[in-house]
Amino acid sequence: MSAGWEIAAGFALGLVANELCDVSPWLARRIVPLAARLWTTDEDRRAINAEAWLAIIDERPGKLFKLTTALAFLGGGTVRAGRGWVSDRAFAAWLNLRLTSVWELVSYGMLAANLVTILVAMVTGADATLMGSFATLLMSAAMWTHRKGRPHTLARRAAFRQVMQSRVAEAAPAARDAGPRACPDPADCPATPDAETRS
Amino acid sequence: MERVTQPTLDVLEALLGAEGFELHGWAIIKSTQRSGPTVYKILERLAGGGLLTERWEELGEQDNRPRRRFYKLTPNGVARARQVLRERRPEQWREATA
Repeated sequence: MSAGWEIAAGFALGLVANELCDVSPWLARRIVPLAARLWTTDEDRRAINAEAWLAIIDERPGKLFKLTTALAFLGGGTVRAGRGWVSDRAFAAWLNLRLTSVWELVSYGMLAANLVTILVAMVTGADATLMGSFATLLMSAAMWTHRKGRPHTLARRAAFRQVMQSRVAEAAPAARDAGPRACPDPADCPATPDAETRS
Repeated sequence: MERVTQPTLDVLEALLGAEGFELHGWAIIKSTQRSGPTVYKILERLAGGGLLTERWEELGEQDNRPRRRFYKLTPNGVARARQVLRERRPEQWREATA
C-alpha cells in the first residue's frame, strides 16, 4: 500500500514538475511587460524594452532559464521603481522642510525635548518638581515659537503654490504647441515647474 | 561616462570586439556573463552619453518572433571605449591588439 502511494506521489510530482517547466516560458513572456513597466515611466522606452527583452527570453535556451531571466528583469525593475518612490518622498520631505519656518522647526524641537524630559523623569525618578518645571518651560517655549512660526510657514507655502501655478499656466500653452516629441534637447524644452524646483 | 564599473568595461569590450561594433541584447548578456538588468542599465547610460545608438532588427514576413534590439558604438563611443579599456584593462587590451 505504502509503495503504491510513493509511486503515485512520484508520478504526480513528475507531472507537476513537467507542467511547471512547460509553463515557465509562457510565464516569462507575461512577466517581461510588467518588468518593463516598472523599469521606467517613459511609455516609449517601456514598449522598446518589453520587445527587446521578449527577444532575449525567446533566444535564451532552457525553459526555466527563460523564467529566471524574466524574474531578473522584474527584480531590476522593482529596485528601480522602489528607488524612484523613495527619492520622490525624500524630495517631498526636503521641500516641506524648506517651506517650514525656522521658528516652527524650533517649536517641534522644543516639543521633542519636552517629551524627552518627561520620559527621563518617569524612568529615572528624578526630582519631579524640577523636571516638571523644566518640562513646562519647554512646552511654553514650544507654544510660543510655534505661534510665531506657523503664519510664516503658511505664507511661504501659499507663495510657493502661487509661483508653481503661474509657471504651470505659462508652460502649458508652449508645451501644447511644441508637443513632448518636438523637444529632443532638454535645454530647448519649456521649463517645467518640477524641473525648476529640483534644480 | 562618469562611472566606469567592471560591468561597463565588459560591455564596452564586448561591443568593441563585435563586427561593426554592434551586438544585440542577448549577445551582450551572453558575452559579458552579466545579468540582463545590469547590462541594460549600462546600455541606457551609454546611450544617454551619446556613445551608443540603437536600432531594431529587420524581420522577414515569415519570422514570427519578437524583434531583437541592436546596440552599436558611435565613432565617439569607439574612441572613448578604446581609451577607457587601454587605461583600465591594459593587459587584455595589449593581448587583444597584439
